[in-house]
Amino acid sequence: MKKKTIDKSQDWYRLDNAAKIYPAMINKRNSCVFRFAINLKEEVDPQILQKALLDMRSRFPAMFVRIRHGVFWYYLEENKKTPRVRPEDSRINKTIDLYGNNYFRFTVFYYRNRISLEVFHSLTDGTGAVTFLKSLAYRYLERKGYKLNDEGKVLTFHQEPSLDELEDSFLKYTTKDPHKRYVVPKPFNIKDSRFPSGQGRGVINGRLDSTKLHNIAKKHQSTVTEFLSALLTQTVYEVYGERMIKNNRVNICLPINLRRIFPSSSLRNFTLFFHSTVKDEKRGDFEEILRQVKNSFSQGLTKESIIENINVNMQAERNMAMRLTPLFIKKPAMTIAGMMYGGILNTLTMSNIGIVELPQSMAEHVQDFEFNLSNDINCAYGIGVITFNNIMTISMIRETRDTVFSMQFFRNLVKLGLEVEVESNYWEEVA
Amino acid sequence: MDYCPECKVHVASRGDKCPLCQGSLKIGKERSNKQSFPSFIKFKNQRKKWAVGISISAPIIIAICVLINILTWNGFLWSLIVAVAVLYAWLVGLYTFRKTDHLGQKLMLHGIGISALLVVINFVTASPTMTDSQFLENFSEIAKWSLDYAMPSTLIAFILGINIAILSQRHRLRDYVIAQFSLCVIGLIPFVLIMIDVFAFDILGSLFMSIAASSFSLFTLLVFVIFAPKLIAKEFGRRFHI
Repeated sequence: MKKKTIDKSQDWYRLDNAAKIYPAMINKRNSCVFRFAINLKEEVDPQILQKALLDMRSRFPAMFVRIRHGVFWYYLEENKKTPRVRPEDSRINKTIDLYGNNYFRFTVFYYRNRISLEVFHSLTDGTGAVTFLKSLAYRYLERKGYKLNDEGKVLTFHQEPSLDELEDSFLKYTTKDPHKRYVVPKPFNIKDSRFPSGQGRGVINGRLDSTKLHNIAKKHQSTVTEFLSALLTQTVYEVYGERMIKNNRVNICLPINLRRIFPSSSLRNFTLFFHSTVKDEKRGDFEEILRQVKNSFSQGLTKESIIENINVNMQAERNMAMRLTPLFIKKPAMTIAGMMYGGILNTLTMSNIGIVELPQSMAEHVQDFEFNLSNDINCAYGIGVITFNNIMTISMIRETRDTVFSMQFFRNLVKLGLEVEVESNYWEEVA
Repeated sequence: MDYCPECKVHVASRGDKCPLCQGSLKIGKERSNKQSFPSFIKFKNQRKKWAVGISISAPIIIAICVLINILTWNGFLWSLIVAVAVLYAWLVGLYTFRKTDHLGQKLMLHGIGISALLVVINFVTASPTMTDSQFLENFSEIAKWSLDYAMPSTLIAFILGINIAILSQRHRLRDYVIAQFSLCVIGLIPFVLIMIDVFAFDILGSLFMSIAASSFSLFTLLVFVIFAPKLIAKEFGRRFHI
């Protein structure tokens, strides 16, 4: 079936349901920016990268936009200025300097053999961002003179963008069924001392063999995401168990890629946050933790409960009084809602993007990928997991100076018989 | 590659310590020369400091002036003028230097702000000792320079300013539409005052500048509506979408 292409005169878009809250939540400590990086096997040429980026404009119209204030809602408007590739900044996922970035809400960076993309969450989610980065890298390699074949695994700049890629899939799958409010019990929050405000975050990347980890998870009759969630929860109990006097509940916030459950080609946000909740009285019994994690997953990831959660989120958007409230009143209300239901309800955040597939001709030029989550001051750690070519990269971005948690987590992986390679920005020494 | 014997991990980035336990590394034969991330550069937000400085000093200046005015009271509320002027300079001034905001919005805000400031100055300086009935009787005389001349000419100047900006950046017309439209609607206030003056109370002395400001505002609105109706409909559609 032929895909419906977009109307080229369309130069503005409504924010999707998930995107609406992010503009109200930005501050120096919470940039709402996440990052993907692709490590090539050769040094990046910034001039060619710049040309490749400009080629992306017609293919990804909803990325080359700016966010404007409407009377009732923010909206995305085509940005006719030119985006510039930049040398990588030492502060990962910092708040985007709009003026310096020509009002674009994404930035493409280069550093040695790495191309990285930092995106504001209102534009897209992880799937959309990694799709954009793959296309950009593909076009970059094409411009370098390599003969590539997309094999249907990359969106190329020759293709027309389809209408489906720009849809708000939440609208498509929401129902008018009654729903109950999604209540997340307050968990233990890691209170270790933070880096100075505005000075960036610490990053530790760990690389390991994804097949080996998959086999270990399989032995425990769990998925890799369930297994890693359980391991992270166990690590929280091991490191902070003694401090959990009033509250020993550990919540791991996991974004769910809804495209895996509901058919959608949307490149905008189509993610829902789900919490794996564990309350382990023995504090560190892995089998018990894994049982509770699996239980959370099986209860929280049914189609019915997901639709119910989508309906809860859509409720505010559907409410006419809410819709007719001017933005200057809605904005502080959304900021407060973000503070109440944001990082404070998470002990950690983890997102497993899964396996990135590239066409063979392109994969030959790529070493691996990195994925750094956006996290706020209340949630000390964000763990991004991405796999390519049997290499799983676990990127821990942290607000805290202390590295004990990361140390214990990677040591736990080593104890399972995995060989781990780590790298760091050594923020604890310099910031 | 370097190796941490405590954590039992390989360390890919260049460094003397293990990034996990901060312990010493066992240096590998083929030592990594790779700096995985750019070097740390301390971030300094100069603008923020400047803005904070102004935001602290503005209320202090107002408080000092009010205190002096009360202590040396002679029936003239000059501190109100200072307060409005400082507030104007503080709020609108900071907004003016914010790089992310659009010229059209800045001109609109200044047009409204300066008009309001001039009216306040006029009323405070002209009627310090009058009773309410004296004030109402002499309203048109008191308000002469602000309502008759200062406010209409300020609005004309700023509407003209935005028109010039549009003509010099025609490709960015869309960005100016809402600001110009809003200022032109404000520019019709002199017309409302004329109507009050003609049909109700005597509040204006000379009508010349008020007629000029209203006509110019209306003319600008009509030019927009006649020559760019689709653009205006589209701009209003996106700005007011619910």
